[in-house]
Amino acid sequence: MAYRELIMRANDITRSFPLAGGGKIQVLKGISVEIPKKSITLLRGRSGSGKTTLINILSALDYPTEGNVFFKDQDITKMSEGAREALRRKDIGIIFQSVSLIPIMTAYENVEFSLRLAGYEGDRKERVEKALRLVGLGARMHHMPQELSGGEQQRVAIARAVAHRPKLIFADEPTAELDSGTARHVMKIFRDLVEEEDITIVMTTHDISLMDAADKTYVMEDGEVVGNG
Amino acid sequence: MIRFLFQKMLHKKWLIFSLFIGNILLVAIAASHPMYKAAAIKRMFADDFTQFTQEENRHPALMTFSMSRKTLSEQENIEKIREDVAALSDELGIPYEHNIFFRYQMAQTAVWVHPRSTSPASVNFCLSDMTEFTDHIEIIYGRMYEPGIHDHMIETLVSESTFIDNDLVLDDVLEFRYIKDGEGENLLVKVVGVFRNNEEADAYWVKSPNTMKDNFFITPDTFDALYGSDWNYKAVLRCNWYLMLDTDYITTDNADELRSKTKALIEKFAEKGVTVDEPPYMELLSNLVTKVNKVSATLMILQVPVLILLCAFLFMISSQMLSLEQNEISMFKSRGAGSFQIFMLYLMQSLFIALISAVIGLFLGRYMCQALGSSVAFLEFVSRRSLGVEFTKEVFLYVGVASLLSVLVTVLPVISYSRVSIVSLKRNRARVKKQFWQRFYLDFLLLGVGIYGLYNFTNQKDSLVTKVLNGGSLDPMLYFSSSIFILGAGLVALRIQPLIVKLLFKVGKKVWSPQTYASLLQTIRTSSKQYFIMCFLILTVSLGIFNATVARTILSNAENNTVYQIGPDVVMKERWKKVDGVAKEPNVARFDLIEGVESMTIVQRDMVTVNKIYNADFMAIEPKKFGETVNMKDGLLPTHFYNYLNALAADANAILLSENFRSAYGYEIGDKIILSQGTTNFTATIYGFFDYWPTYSATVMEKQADDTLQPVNKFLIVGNLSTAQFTWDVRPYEVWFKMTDGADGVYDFIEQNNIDVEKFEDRFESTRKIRNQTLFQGTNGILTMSFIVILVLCGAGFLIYWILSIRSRELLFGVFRAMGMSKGAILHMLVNEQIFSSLLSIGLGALIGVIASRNFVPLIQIAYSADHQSLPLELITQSSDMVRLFTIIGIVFIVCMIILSRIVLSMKITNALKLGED
Repeated sequence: MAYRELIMRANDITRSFPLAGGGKIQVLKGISVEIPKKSITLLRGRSGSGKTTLINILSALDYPTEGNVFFKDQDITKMSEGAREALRRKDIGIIFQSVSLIPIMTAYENVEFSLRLAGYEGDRKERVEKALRLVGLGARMHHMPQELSGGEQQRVAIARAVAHRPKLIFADEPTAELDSGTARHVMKIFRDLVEEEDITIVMTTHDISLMDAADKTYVMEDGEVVGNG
Repeated sequence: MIRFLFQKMLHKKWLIFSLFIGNILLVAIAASHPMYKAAAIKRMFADDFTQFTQEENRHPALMTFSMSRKTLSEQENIEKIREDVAALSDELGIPYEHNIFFRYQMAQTAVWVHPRSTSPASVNFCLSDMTEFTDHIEIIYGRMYEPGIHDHMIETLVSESTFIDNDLVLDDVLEFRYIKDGEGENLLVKVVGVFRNNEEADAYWVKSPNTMKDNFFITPDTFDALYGSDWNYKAVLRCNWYLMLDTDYITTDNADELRSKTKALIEKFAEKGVTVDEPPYMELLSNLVTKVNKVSATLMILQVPVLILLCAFLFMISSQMLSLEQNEISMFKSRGAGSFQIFMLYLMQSLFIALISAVIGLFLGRYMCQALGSSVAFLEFVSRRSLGVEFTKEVFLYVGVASLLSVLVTVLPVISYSRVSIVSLKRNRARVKKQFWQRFYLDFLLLGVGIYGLYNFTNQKDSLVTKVLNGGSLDPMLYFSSSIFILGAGLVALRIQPLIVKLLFKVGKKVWSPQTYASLLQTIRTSSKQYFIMCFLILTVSLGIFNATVARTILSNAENNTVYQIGPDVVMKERWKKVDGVAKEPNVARFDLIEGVESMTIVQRDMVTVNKIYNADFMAIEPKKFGETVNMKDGLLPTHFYNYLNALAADANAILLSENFRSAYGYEIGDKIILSQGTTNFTATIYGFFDYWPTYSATVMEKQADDTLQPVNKFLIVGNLSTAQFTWDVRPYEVWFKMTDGADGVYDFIEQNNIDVEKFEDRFESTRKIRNQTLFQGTNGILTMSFIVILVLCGAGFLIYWILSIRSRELLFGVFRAMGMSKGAILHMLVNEQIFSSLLSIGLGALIGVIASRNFVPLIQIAYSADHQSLPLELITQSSDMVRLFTIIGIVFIVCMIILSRIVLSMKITNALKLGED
């Protein structure tokens, strides 16, 4: 694989949670990852390996106990909460494992809402429609989330995550609740996004069959990176 | 199952707590109704009886039986009647306070055995005896009498006035010509003592001792000896029985029976030749029963809306809880539990809550009842003699019904929820259903019915007045019309509210900030879920405002009317003493000495004939002093009241006429008319017309031949006192006083100077009386209670709804936060939601409350007019009530915001999102 410029870099991340009965549990034990620009990076591991915790830290939803995360040249762990929120609104898109659409908004409105949050300057209607067409939902954009299937909802979530042209998209198990055909379709969409929209994608999965679709893979086990490629 | 039930209840402790609150209030209000009614009626009876005693100086339940014994042979008959009278109390079912047998021989002449030079030639008197006589007297001179006849002589006691009027001296001995002792000798009587009543006010003395001037009291034994044997068998004896029933035992329950039994008894005794004086309670009770029916009907009607509101509250909370437990219910269903089992689970929960609430509510009800009894105005209580509150059978019946109602209302929604399985549940969630009342246009229908009622009653206003003055109560249909109007308008407002929000959304769709955009959408898309809380808020606020206005208006209106009808603070008309057959004017200047008089004026009232054709009332006044003395509200006349007085003052022959005189006979300003009384007259010039003048009502209700009251036009002419007195002489007049502080000075002066008062009116006492009337007090009390309950429900409903609504959306907030929305923005979004749904509802509720008050209060007020309404009705909305209402709402709003902020601020995105992964 050719050398690419890094968009994100994490050094020696540790994260521990207090236990209910006292003491602590260390979920991440000093992890370093590098995310190249315009790539799909896979964090693979069994459940409990710490991949969701890691992706929460990378996507500025959570703070590490120790270590730093650099987005381009900025250390996001040192940013103010406001700056991190702005980062999430503009530069980052997040796709959750289970469906996270806003139930009171149609597919179209869900996508448009992220544009509103990001303060998108251009023609919002055009952009929303393009994002929805990109995930193959151009025809059902005025349906409410409840009226869509699981896969369709996940595709709306993807469209919402990419619509405001973030630089980085984090997806936590985006294919976990989808059948293999739909999962492959989602991976295809991710690939297209990387090619067409200059987007970088970081996703977690426990599905080995998705390895081929990635540019880079970190294999995690018990809070540590045990291999990459 | 029971353990599961308690776990479930513990888990939903806030909702269960709300159910308890609603339940307890429901029971308390239901229980307070019969308790208060019974106590209030008891008080009304007691007050009326006391008032009667004070005003008439008679016992209200006094029955007087009288007959004569002409010869000794009739003695047996007397004994029989004596027994019959004694048995009466049992027959009527009411114990007696006194059963007095008063017997005396018809007046006989007696002469002094040792006449003094000053002694009259002879005295007329009756030997008398009264049961329990010695228990009710004290000896002021001499000693107590002794029984027995010694040396043809018996001992007697006389009253003070008998003693003085007959010029008696202690130990005087008198001789009867026609009364014999056992030996056939003339009877001698020795005055051994002078008595008076030992208690000032003693019902025993049907006639005051001082008025019994001819009665010489002898011991019962002596009386029996004299008249029970054939010594004096021809003596005519007068026998009176005074039976006084204990009024404490006269209640609404036995009033009708007592009246009919009494009537039958009077006839029965009349057949035996006994004359019976009808007891005063016969008429008192007939008025009281009408009054009591009016009061209890009014109290009932006033309580219905708040009871309905409480049921709605319970229904809302119960539905809310069920919708939160939908998942559990569906899970049960899919595991094979039947609808019946689920139903039983909730039924047990409701029964449990209802049972505990019934006990607590019963005692809270008693407390409320005491509070009701001490209310003097809307939201005003004073400490006063407490009501005798009892737990009667009726109370328990009401509590039972209320509890049953609450169980029904809370279990009702279960039926629909328990049918839903998990599959249909998911399907249902996707759909936004239209409310049934919207589908069938029930809201417009209700509003229409309310408006129709309003229209109908407004047209019948005059007949409503007549009905009330003839003893009718607040028409239930009228009050229900107002409730239906409020409900209908509230539901229509629910249709309008989403339209307003939608309009807002459309107008600024492009420019709304993300949080405003999201909150507007949230309000629009979840409106069907919010209908109940919105409806509830609209109804509570509008009813609260309506109740406050009703309470304030009826009281202030009644007081204003009284003040106007009295005129000044105090009106006093002295009965002039006649000197040589002519009433002589007393010295008015002596009233200057009365303490606390600010100003005083003479008002002479007469009838005059106008142009020798029409009759009219004539009020002669001293314009300047009149202006200084009367209480006349501003704004009743087109120009200031003083301008009318100035016109009078400027011309001695000036007069003012009531407006109806102009419309009836077509006079104009400047016209001259002749006012005459008998043969004397003067020509007056009309200077003005008025609609309102102190004490003047354009129409008064007068009893017609068919015993109903009908309005009759009254004309009033106001002129100068000097002219009237010059033309027609000085006649007994009224003196009007303005007092600096209360009328005590006048009362003291009257008492100290022994003034013979013909007419007396006191504004302070009259307004105090109004406030103490059970009808007003009960109305104020109930409306106050309702208002407080409304505040509690409003607060609890608002808080519960919002906290639940936030809790159920925690995942969504996690998503918003992940998308980069700040906590502040989310809070802003929630505030917006509150503004668009709750505050908008509250605003619409306030609007409906004001509209309903404007239209219905003038009609409802009629039920409270003791007299014909003289003044135009003024709607009173006291801003302090609104401040109270909105302060409570404000506090709840702030508390709500604090709780929401705490939830939002303490929310961790990762935790919130985790919730979604379960």
